[in-house]
Amino acid sequence: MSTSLKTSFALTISLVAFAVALVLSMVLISLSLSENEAQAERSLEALESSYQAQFESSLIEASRNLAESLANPLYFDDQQSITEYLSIFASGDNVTDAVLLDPNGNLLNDGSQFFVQFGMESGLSNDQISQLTSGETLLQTSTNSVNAYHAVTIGQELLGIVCLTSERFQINSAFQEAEAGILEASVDRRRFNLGVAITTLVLLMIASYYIAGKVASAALQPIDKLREQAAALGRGGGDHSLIKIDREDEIGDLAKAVYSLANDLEMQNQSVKFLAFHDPLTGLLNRTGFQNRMEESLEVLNRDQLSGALLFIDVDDFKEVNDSLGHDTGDRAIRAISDRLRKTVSGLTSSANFRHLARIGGDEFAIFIAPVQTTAEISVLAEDILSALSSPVIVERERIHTSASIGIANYPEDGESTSTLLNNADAAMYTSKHLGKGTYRFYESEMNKSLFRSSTIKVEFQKALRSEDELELLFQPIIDLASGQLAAAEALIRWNHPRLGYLSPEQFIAIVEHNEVALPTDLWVLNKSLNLIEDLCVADMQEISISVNISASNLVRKQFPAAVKKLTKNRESLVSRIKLEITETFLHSDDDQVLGTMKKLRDMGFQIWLDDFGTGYSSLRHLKDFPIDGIKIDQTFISSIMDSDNDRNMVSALMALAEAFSAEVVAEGIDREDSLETLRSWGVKYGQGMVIGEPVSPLRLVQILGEEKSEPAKLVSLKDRLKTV
Amino acid sequence: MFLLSRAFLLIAFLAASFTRAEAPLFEIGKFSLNPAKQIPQIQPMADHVAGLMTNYGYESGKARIYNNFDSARAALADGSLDMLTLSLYEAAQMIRDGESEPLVIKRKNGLSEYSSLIVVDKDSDIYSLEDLVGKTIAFEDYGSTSAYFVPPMAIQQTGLTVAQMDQFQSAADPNAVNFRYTGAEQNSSVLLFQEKVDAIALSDFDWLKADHVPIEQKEKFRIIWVSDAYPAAIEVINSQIPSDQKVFLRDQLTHMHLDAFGRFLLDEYHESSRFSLVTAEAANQLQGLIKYLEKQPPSNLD
Repeated sequence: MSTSLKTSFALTISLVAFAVALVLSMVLISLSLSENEAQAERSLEALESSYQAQFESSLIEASRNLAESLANPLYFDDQQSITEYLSIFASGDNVTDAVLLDPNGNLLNDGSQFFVQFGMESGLSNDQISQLTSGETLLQTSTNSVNAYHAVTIGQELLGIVCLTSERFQINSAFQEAEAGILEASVDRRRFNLGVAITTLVLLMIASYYIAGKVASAALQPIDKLREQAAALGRGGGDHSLIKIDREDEIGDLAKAVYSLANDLEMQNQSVKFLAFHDPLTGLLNRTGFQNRMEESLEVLNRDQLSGALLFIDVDDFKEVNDSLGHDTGDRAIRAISDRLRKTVSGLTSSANFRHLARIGGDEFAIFIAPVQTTAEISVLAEDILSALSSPVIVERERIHTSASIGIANYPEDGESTSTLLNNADAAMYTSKHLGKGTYRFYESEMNKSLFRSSTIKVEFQKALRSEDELELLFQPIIDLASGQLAAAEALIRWNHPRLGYLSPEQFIAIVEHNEVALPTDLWVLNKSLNLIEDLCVADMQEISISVNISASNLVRKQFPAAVKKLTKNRESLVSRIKLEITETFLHSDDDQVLGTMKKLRDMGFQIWLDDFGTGYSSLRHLKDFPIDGIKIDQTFISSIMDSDNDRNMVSALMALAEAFSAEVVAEGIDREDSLETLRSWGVKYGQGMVIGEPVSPLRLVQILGEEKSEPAKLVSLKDRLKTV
Repeated sequence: MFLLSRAFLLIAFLAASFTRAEAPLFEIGKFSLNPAKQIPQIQPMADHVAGLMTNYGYESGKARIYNNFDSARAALADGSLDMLTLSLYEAAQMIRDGESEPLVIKRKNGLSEYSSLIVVDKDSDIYSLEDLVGKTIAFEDYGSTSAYFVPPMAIQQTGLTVAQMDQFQSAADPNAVNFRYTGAEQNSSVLLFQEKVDAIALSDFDWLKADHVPIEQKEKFRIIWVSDAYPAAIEVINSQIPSDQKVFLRDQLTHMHLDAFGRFLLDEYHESSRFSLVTAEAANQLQGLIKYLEKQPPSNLD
């Protein structure tokens, strides 16, 4: 709730209240003014009447007092005292004249020393005199004066009659004075009332604004709270301790909605927090969570001078599981593996308080255990892990054979930070993997160098693929041993790194083959080979085949056939001149994915050859199960046929085997003239090796083909030519 | 109910008396300067007596107030005044002239007789009237029987001489008892309390009233002389009225208190309780006063 809403709410209420109050005030002021005027008139009337009554009353009272005072002097006929009394009363307030009449109403004493009006008739009738005798006071009013008569009696005897006279102007002047006062008071009252009304109005407006503000605050307080809570929720902050608003109205509904939203957000936050530090697939710590736990643990270990160990676990060949069985199956296998790791770690008989298990990569796990007393304790854990993973994982009836390579870095000897420990354990794991899977290695400082090289090569090779300036594709001739003519060439990738220099295939091929770079690499080679064939066709050169080595990992990549197909689009006629060489040792006869890929490639028109044939353990079965167009007898046999009967027998057997399955044969690695001759004598179809020709550039290969076109190639001459390049 | 019926009779009686305003009157008089106060108290008794005396030709009663002895004497002389209600001192004055004679004693509620007292400071050396020679004494005024008339009479009867002082500051006559009027009993007691006089005279009635002599003053005062008790008031009748009427009237008046209506009229008549016959003692006291007066110079009332 913004302040402006509250203010506008309060202003609206207060303005309405003010408007009502203003109208009411105007009405009341109007009524008050009219009432004031009426009241003033009434007051004047009442005042006039009151003055009249008061005046008459005082005159009557004075006449009674005078009559009472004159009783004794009149009884004793003490005219001097009577005169004095009359004089005193005549000079009283509101009295202009005081006289004494005899019982017949004739003037007896006028208060003067000389009784100038003695005997004058007053005009009182007998009835009026009788009325006076009963004790009443008679008032005679005229336009200008009022006369009050009262009898002077003792007992029942009428001794005389007093008469007091008052002139009206005295009443009028007193009344006018009072009237002016009333009118002035009326005006003052009007002003006062108006002032009170205006003051009240202002106070009412202030009070109404204040009260309206309070009411608005009270009314909007729940909304304000909800706003604050919603804002806190929106900021992702707040303690989520929402104040309950139990109401059965719209605000209550809004509050419920906010609570629901807050709960959802809280759950999401918890979920996000969980996901931030945990692996959603296994529920184990992720890399970040693991690092956090590690930091906490290392702080304690550092403080208490204790030791620990980080085990970097990489599931061997798990990529092939994903590629061959799909990621769903792979995920389930990862869950099964993580369960086994969890049980192993928790079941470890050790005093180690810190036991952090995390999934830090697709098939990578890390375990930190501390404190540890001896390396033997760590070895036991590593062996327990290897043992736990040795039995196959069964997912959807699939038996997945698992093993892992473990690298171990000790704290603090191999590193005092999490990252160092992880890197070193990683290096140890790689070493373990390269030296023989399904085992573990403790970190040694030399390991990092090779690891650095492999990781660098991987990254740098990706760059090289993009730049195309560093990579070069050479072609090693394969000749028809019988004719000596160039029959084919094997495409061999070479890498001239700007800093590392010229790298031999042994330095990077193995690395490239086992990661995701393999796909673009093979496609790059394939594309270059097709380009060469295409160029040769355009140049009307001799038709030769190009052998292209295919990484075994690509055979389990579902997208590989499609990528190849896309690459060969519009060049399908050239495909038949491509021999895809697959290293026999990478094949698994029960690998349906590999088999399917091979068939798809063959269906596209590619020839499928088995490279390094004879080194595998089930060559016969490969010939039987896979669609093979030819084999390349491994150079280990060829290079020693002149020295080893076994190898000669092996070559003969392999040739027979290939013949039996109608597969062509290439003898590779011919590096001696006598071997060449022997193989030729044996009837080996094709030969390849240093004695025949080293890998040459495409340009040079074109030149050679051009020369052969004009002059039929001879084996020696070819070799010589090649050597001269 | 009884009182209401009596009140009705009184009203009827009064109404009847107005109708006979011009008829022969039985007039009762009194000395006073306030006829407005006295007439309403006397008029009912006058009407009643007139009613009693209808057999003797009276038809109505009338209250008459006199402010001097001469006018009263004249009224007695011309026969217009029939009866006077007087203090003992006033009665002595009127009877001395021979125009009237005592008829009955008027007794007041709670006080039918009273005495005069002479009071001094208790620490003074005054213990008798003789000790007052050369001293100063305060009297109320010359109209007061108890506070003026009786005490100097007693002093003179003792053989002492009284002398009036113009002012208290004036030098006292060492051979006489020096007196000065104070106007009221309260003034007298205050003067004695302040030791500005040596003695004061007052009635035993006033001595007993706390508003006249407060208790703290009494504690400082001492009484040295008490007079004989004498009637508070006396009714005298015109000597010209025939004896049988006098006897009839005396008889009616002395029996008046025996019924409620009579007591009502008596109460109206100066809060009196009854009329009684003039005792021999009272007659002697009256004669003593008359004799004393005959030796005195004329008073202001004369």
